[in-house]
Amino acid sequence: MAVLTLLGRRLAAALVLLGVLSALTFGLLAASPGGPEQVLLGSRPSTAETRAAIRAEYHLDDPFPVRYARWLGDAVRGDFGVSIYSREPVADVIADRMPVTASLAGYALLLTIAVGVPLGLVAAMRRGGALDQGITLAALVTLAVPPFALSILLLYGFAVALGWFPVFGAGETPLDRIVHLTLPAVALAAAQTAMVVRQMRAAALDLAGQDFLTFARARGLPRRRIWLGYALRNAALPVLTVGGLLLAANLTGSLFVEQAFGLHGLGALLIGAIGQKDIPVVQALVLLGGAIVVAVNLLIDLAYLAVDPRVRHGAVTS
Amino acid sequence: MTLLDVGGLTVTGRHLIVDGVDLSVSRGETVGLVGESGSGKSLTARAVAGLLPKGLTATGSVALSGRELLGARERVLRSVRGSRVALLMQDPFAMLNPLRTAGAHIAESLPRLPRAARRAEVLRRLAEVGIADPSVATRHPFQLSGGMRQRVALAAALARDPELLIADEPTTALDATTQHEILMLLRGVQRTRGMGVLLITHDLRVAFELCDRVSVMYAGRIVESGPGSGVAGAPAHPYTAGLLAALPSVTATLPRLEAVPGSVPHAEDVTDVCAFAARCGQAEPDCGRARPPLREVSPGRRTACLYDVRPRPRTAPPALAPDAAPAGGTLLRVEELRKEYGGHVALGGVSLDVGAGESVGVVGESGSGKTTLARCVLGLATPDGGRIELAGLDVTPGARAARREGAHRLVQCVFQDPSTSLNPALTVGATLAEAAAQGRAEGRPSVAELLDLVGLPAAYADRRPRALSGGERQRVAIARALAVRPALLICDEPTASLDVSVQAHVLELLRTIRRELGTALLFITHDLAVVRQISDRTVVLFRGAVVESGETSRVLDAPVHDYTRRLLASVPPTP
Ligand SMILES: Nc1ncnc2c1ncn2[C@@H]1O[C@H](COP(=O)(O)OP(=O)(O)OP(=O)(O)O)[C@@H](O)[C@H]1O
Ligand code: SF4
Ligand SMILES: [Mg+2]
Repeated sequence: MAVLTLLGRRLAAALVLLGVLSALTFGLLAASPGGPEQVLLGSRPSTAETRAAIRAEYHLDDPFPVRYARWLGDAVRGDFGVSIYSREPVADVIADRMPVTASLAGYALLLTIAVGVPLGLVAAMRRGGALDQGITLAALVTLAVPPFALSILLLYGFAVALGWFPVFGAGETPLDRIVHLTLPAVALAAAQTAMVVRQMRAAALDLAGQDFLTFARARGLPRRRIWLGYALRNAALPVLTVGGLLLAANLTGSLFVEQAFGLHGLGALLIGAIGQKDIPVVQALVLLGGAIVVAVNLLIDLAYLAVDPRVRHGAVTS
Repeated sequence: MTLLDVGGLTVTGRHLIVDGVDLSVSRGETVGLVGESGSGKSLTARAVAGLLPKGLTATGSVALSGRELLGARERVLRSVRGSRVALLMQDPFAMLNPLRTAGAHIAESLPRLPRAARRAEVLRRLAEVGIADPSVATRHPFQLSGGMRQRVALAAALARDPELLIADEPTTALDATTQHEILMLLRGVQRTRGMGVLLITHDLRVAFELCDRVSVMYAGRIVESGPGSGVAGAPAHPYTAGLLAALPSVTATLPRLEAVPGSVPHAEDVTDVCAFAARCGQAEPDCGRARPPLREVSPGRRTACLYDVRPRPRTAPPALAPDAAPAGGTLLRVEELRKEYGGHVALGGVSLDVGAGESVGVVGESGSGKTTLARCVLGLATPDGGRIELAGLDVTPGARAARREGAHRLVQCVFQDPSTSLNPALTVGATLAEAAAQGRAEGRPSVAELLDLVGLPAAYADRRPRALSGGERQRVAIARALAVRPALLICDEPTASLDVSVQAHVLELLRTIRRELGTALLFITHDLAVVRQISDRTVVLFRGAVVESGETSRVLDAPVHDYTRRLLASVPPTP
């Protein structure tokens, strides 16, 4: 019961959020310089006829709420109109770019979790020791290097000088793709890993002082059980939250990294679209980004429900 | 034979904390380790289990059946913990993993068993600790009461059938009645299993009731040890004698509660002298020259005092008839007060009166509505129904707001936890001056007067709460409450977080204030011995309803209601 109310509340909040975002996005077109006709005309000559045609095609003479409702209706069905630049449906343009960004985001997240969580745990276990200090220092340094600079360093070192990885492009076959995306994923994951390391270390240290961990040790439980069943599981929630938000950030476009490695992903698309004043594409990307963030947050809530019985039984509201 | 033999155990962090503790526990024996807060009991326990917090180190010797554990490898310790030595900790609310069920805690501690057998075994273990309801196994800690959690924790601690159980204040966080149940359970389990138990407590009565032998700890060292009855009857160290004298009695109102003056020193500052010398009433020059060894006074009795304890002039207990209730009018009248919190009835129609200058005790276990009652009278909570009248004025919160104007001059409050109720950023003087400014200008007491009233030196005005001990903070809180010269002082468990010797101080202070200023008291507590010392009349609350009320001596000597009897039965006898 508590689960359903919680989910219901979260879903309602998500819908409201998306509604507000969509209204703002739609307003983007109406408020653009030169008015919507100018934007929608793009590079076509601006004559009385073309303008009238555009007004008719986009129903620009209808009142704002009606236009918004129509646009929203189309958007919900996946129809964001036609790109002004390429004259292709926006949905196709995005679908074309999505796989690269999605694989890059997934790859980077995988690296982040696989490296960040164990390193954070180890640092906490060896608190104050040389290993802990090394890990903490490395995390700090990594955080301080901008992703763009790191991309160039990696490119120079591993692609140009050593020649282990291709310099740009996303590859065709799945294996090829992994090889192509490795350097970009590392560049993207580095700072995020550092964040997860620090988060994990803090969470685990917080746990180490807890009575229930001491009590578990006092019962002579095996070390593995203590670290997995107690430390990792209890520290999982804050780390999960951070991981989810990082995933959302990666999915909505890792501008610098895509740019540096010449990947044609959503980030590159967004930069291009803004440059070309391709408003329909920008609208679709903003809305997509919002939807992804909202969806990821819902997933995090679900994860809380799965992991924490107190949330499941409504004893606490997260 | 000796199961556990601790010799010369010291624990050092940045300072010396535990200084040369000797202890032994035999099979089937219960040994008590008593002492005030901060004396190093918990760290001794954790050193024995090899579970000291990071940054602390232990030296000396901890031998289990002749095998040295101190400095043993972690692998060795892990094989000993749980299966030979178990540790039960202080706070049942923090001891269990919030994400695992009660059953999982026990199951994971059991030796390997096939699945079905394990489930049956979990239920059997729950039954051993008095939980007959099998559904408890599937519940999570947050769905269980404190007492239930402590039972589950005990079952988990005992899962591998250890020979020695170290229980660190296993009942301190629990209600009086639950406390009693858990202690009886512990005793039962200990007897049937023939286990050795090291019971750590700050409650002398508990130690004497349950333990075969008792060691008294002070400033990181043992100052006295011996059989429980012997120590209780004829303490061989002035400190023990002082603690015993400070103990309030549930059967008699003592004319004077003797507090031990001063406060506990740091172990490090007293390594080479008698740790108690600064507070000892019979100190001699010799006491400051060397550290008194733990000498044997009679077989099995040891004391770290150079001299025999001078007998205290113990006044015959029933000397004091309760102060005749002053014949003032009714000061506080509460009628049919009702309050619900989301369907849970906190107060279900409570009525009580407090006369001018009278002291009324409200007793009951946690959740019985005591604090809600206080909060309503103070105007901090709005009741759902009923009336509160103060000195003839209707001050029911939410009713007519204007009437509350001036109510704070009539009634003031002292809360349970002195460390959170004082503003840490203000000096004591600023706190008191601010409080006094709320009262009428004429006859406004000065800071020095207020400090004097609660027996603190005037120099304390410059200190901040951080630099005060718990008892001193509580005295400042009392001074603050008295600053507006209220007619009624509400005390919500004001001594629950204090040690007995400090508690005696605060109780004696409240009695004096009442006698000298004529302030009426509404004293909320779960401790019947405390209520005996402080109140003329007593009201017993149970689940938001008054189940019994009357003269304190009548209620405690001849209880009528079942619940009052149960409360009384849960108080260990005063030695
Ligand atoms: N992790 C720690 N690091 C440094 N000092 C500590 C630590 N834990 C406790 N101490 C100090 O050691 C002293 C003894 O602490 P301990 O917890 O053993 O007291 P205790 O007798 O169990 O008191 P209580 O009755 O309040 O539980 C205290 O002065 C405390 O401040
Ligand atoms: S040794 Fe001296 S100071 Fe210490 S307790 Fe005995 S008489 Fe008091
Ligand atoms: Mg303790």
